[in-house]
Amino acid sequence: MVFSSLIFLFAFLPITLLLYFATPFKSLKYKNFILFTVSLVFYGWGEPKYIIIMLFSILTAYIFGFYIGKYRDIDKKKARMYLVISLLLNLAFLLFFKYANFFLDNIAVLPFLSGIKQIANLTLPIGISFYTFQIMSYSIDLYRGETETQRSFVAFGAYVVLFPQLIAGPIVRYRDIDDMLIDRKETVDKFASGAVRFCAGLAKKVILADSAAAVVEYFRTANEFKPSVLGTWTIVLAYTFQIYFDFSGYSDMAIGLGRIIGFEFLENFDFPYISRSITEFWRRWHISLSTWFKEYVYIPLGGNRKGLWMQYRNIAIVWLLTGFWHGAAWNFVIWGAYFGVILMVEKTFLLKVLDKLPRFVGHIYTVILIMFGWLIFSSTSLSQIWLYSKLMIGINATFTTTTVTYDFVRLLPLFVVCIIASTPFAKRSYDWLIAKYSSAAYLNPLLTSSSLLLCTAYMVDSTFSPFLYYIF
Amino acid sequence: MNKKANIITLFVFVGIIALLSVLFVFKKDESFSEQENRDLQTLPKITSETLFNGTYSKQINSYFADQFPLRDFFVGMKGTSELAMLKGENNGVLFGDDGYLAVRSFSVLDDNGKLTNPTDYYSEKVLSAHFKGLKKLQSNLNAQEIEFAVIIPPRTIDLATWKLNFPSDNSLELQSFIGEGLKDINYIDIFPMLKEKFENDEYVYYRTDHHYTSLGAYYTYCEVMRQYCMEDDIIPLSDFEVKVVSEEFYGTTWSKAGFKFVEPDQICYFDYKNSDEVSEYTTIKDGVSFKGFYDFLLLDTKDKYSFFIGGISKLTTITKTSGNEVGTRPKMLLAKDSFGLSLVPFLALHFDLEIVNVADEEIKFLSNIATKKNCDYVLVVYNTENLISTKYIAAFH
Repeated sequence: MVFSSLIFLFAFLPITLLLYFATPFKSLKYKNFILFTVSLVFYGWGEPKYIIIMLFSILTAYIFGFYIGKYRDIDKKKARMYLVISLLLNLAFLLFFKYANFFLDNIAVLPFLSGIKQIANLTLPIGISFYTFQIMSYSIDLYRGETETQRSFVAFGAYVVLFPQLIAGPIVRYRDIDDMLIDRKETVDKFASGAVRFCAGLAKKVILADSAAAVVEYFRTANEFKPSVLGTWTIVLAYTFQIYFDFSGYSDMAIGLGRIIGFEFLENFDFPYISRSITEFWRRWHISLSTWFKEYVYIPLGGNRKGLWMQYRNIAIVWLLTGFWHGAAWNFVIWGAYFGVILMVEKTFLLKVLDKLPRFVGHIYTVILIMFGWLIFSSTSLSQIWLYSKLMIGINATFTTTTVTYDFVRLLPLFVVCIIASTPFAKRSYDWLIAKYSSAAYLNPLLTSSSLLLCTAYMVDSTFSPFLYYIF
Repeated sequence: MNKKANIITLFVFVGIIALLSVLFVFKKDESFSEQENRDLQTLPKITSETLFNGTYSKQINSYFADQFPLRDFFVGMKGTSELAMLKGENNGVLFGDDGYLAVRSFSVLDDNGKLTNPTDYYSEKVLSAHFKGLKKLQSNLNAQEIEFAVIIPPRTIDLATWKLNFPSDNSLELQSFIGEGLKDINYIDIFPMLKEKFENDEYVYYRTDHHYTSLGAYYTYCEVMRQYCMEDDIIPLSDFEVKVVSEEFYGTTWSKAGFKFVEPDQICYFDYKNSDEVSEYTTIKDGVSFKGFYDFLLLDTKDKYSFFIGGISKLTTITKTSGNEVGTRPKMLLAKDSFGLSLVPFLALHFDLEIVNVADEEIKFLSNIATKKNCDYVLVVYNTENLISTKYIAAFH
């Protein structure tokens, strides 16, 4: 199930809130149990068969958690062994479902292995990349002594399957919410701020991201008939907006829903498109993923403490993995490598240069590199990357057609709204207004309800549009 | 922190969700949408198969959208909001001056014969295949001394670009490509004529529907008569009595657009009474016969355009059953899409008609049918939208 669907908003959510709040049972055990159960329904909605895989992953980590916890202070070696087994079991599912066919496809290129076929009907279990990482964070943190063994299966299960962040993040580290699993308070203030956040995210997704997605699809089709430079740039620009509002909208909704039921998740986006370098961009984009890789891969590998060459090596490993995490296809590997290389160059000298130049240079430099990154990311094949790169610089294409110009002009207001919404401007002004005039707080219910109604209108009159990050 | 504002926020959020959910539960399901003229998704049945292969969740999503309370209100709200964002269109429908609506983009067949996502463009390869089919048909028919002609009525977007502030070069290119491709055969190019009438503010196309009006159909009929060298038989416009039968026609484009504020169209028909005779025509539509050319009952439904000869059927025949020339009139085979419907009342004043659909499988042997039914004329009426998005014409034998 996805948040931006009528069935979520007008069936799943009211029933969940009813079960959660409007019952005589107030104990946290009951509430965790409710969350665990409804989240399984939420997850299994499209493809119920994958619940079993997820439950198995949870059960493995849960059981091994006892052993890791038991031995970590008395027999480090044994604890380590249990950690490794637990991680391997978890990763096995991810590797099999996500990467098996990619691997088979690629070794089939070898002449003596050309008979190898794909495994049929192997589809990716929704959210597996997200929940596998969450589960791993529990095992590792436990081993490192940064958290305690969770004795309640329901509480641990609820952590993994918690419907707000289950299928598309943020990737919540266990130790960030372990306290909240045993003790949290739902308040009117938290509920209200969660509702505001949820509706803001919903509007980002339904009104901005889906509009941008329609632009991408429309121009892509047009490009097949009459390729144009402006059309291709519009595709890349619109995709840049689509992926940001899609994904950050999802995170907003997750954080908002979490707050409604008393959880506080860490932020996942911090206006990434205002960055002045790619280094900064990756501190602002999908923060929970970058943090995960930093914490559990980069630093254990030695981070930047073992000399420059080791640091380059570590960056390379992390970024190849990051690319690969996004999908089992070469374009994702290239995409990861692309950012890895840029980060190394920035680390070596470019950051210092950018610092000395006027601010706008850094902004332009960053935006262009990000857009080209999304071009690689969104391409289904290497030849498509090549084709679109050529189109962008005008090889084999007219600059524009009358229709493309017409549409570009027509869509300018949408793009302007998207640009403003990508900067902290609107949020800062709003916060300033509310700080200055306390009655401005009444804008909250007004904006929340209008955005909820408007988004409902868009959902009623739309073909179904799942989240981009749903597929990872 | 403003406690009161927060309490209000909580209540409006919960209130809206609760209210719409409750309305949804108690609202009776409908199986058909009058406003959109389509079947709605009703509550799907759960089977273990549909549940596990994901069909069920897709159906239930459509079910929620189709049966949602205040659906028409929400659809209109979205349309208006798209205009407010200055997008100028919604669901691919342009909103122009005088409330003119036109679909701008169509799912067309690409060079590989696959349907694309909606686009402004078209495949020349697909069109060329159609031209070949028509040429073959004409040479077959001419060999049997049957007169042949074809009309490709333009889309609203082709005529109305200036009313819609939309660039016209795609339309002009497409229409001239068709004209060029069909120049060797008896192609009745009504595009320039209709465009001129349209630009003179004549009501030749509906504002909310993709068809031509009865007036547009009349002009088209005149062109057909000229092409068949029957110019002298054309009945002048002034001899008709125009009868308005509906002021409440919301057409297909309106349904798609979601611009609920756009005013409806008017449907009228042109009644011809020859003072020299008492004439009567009988229409047999899939075996059911009625007098005249119109089904007045359909004016009470959303699909009012079907008023003309009762809408699409597998086979309709129209014969003159009393008056002059009964039984001696020339016979015409009309292979058409819906654009043929409103043309029929004019053609039927001169021809006995056998009316079939281009989209029917058997119609690809059109010349055989014409011979079998002893037809003197064959007319194909197939509009531009269908031409770029279907394969039927190319399959003519």
